[in-house]
Amino acid sequence: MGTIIRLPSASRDGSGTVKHLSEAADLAHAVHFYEEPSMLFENVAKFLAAGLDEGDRVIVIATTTHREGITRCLGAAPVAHALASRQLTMLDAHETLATFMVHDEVDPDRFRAVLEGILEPLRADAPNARIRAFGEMVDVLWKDGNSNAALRLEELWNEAASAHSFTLLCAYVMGNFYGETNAPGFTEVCARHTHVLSTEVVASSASFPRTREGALEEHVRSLETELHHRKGLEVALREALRDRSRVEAALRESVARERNARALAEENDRFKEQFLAVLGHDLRNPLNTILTTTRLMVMRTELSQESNRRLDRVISSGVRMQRMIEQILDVTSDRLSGGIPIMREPAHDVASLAAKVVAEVRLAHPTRHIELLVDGACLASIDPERIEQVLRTLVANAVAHGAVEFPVRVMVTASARMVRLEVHNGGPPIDADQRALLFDPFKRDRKTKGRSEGLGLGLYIAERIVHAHDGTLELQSSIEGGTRFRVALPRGY
Amino acid sequence: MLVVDDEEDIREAVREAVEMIGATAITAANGADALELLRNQRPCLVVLDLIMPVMTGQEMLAAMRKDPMLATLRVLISTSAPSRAPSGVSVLPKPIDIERLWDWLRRSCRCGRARAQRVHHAGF
Repeated sequence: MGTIIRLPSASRDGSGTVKHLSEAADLAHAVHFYEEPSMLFENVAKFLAAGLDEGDRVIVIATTTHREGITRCLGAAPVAHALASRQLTMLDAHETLATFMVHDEVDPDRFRAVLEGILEPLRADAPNARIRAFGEMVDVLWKDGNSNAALRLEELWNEAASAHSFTLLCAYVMGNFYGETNAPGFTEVCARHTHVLSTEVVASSASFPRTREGALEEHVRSLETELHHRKGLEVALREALRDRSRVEAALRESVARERNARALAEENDRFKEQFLAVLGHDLRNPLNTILTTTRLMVMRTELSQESNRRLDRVISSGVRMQRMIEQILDVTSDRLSGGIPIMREPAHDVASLAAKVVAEVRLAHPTRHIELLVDGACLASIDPERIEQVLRTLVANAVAHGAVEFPVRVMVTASARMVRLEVHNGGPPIDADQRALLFDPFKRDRKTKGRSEGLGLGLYIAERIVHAHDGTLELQSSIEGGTRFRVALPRGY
Repeated sequence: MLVVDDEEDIREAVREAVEMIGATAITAANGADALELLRNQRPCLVVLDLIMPVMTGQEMLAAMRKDPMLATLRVLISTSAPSRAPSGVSVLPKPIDIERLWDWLRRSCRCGRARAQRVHHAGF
């Protein structure tokens, strides 16, 4: 057990040595040098227990292993109780340091803000309670070789202790100060504290013998010091090794956890995609039968007009369902094989595809005005079925979402290298936040009413088809200009 | 005409469509059964599904190409996934467009049974 020495320079009442740690509540800013962590745990636990008994608010800022050691000495149950009642606050030294260190230097403003963040809720809880803290961030800094930052941090603690009036205990492992380079550091640390709680060895080194026996004694003592030095190094090394293996274990665990999570997510995605692909395929067969058979009925017969209308409803629902299944299969094939497969035909006339789609949509919406403008020879190496699909999506969307009083305009133009398609409709523009979702599968705006036509995959697939043709699909939407989708396809020959 | 499809409903629907223009259809549920039928019968056109148990459409097509008696038979692949059809073969996408099927049948028919008759069309 160490002795507490009141440092003359900081002494306020000249009362001298404090014998027991429980008396340390009177200390303003004490420092404890220790050899063995077990000694530290015991001493800190005493310091903290005295505070807890008196109803002080207690703060511990320590490394993980030291928090564990202190908790062991205090007893797990009292610690849990004190933590739950917020009488005790435990923080990690490394994490707390990270909140105010900037480029290996203590940022004073950040430090003050962090400290205020710790103290404020305590004062709110119990405005009159005394505050008592144990911290070893300084030791962490010292061990990292950043003694300047440690000393600066001590000064900031002093500033804080006088401003907020609380009792602070710091600790350094003695090994920090063995060896020549750190010898002056020890004095510097002492100078920044009101009290020193030292090991016997350090305490006795305060006297300097002058006799020959004294010199021999001093020699023995220096050998003892050397022994202590080595012991200290060994302790520090053991502690560092323990810290390292703990960090490595944590790292391994987190890597394994992350790998598991990723594997699970990938498997999930694969399952979803395969499920959709299989489902799509199996749904398609019976639907094909329904459509073919119903069409046969419509074609063949002498049915009443009413029956024919009913069959037409069956067919149009079937066609809608078929389109959704095709969309699901397109999205899964896009995801599974990294793109939508296309079968290019050289020099295909894009304008004739546009004419075909426009004619179809006019037939389905006889009251809507749909204009087609063609300029130039619009030949490109494309998959005609897929580009027709793009056109159908864009024109159908323009009819569905455009204001009725404006025409829908489809333009096909050609330049030396590109064929461009443009589909324009008037009416209110598409919101900016909705625009981002338009090309995202399954992320259709749920708030949008009255659009139960499909899965909202049309634009996503259109974009993927254009992408597979090395083209681009762009959207412009404004109050004045209406909504305009532009597709640019390289001619490809 | 020979219809090869593992779905009985499809086989029957296609047979009905074929008969509407006066032609006849024989059916098989897989490639192996179809090859068996082709030993004794010689249709003008084979409408062939791809994904079938026992023997797939691709396997049957390969077997036909190796057999000099069958190599010249006209084959129309009927599939929901036209992009997966083997190259060099005509494709009739599913669901089957009946008018297109009739066109094919009339063009392939050597025996004159498929008639260019007009069928009442309800229009849809």
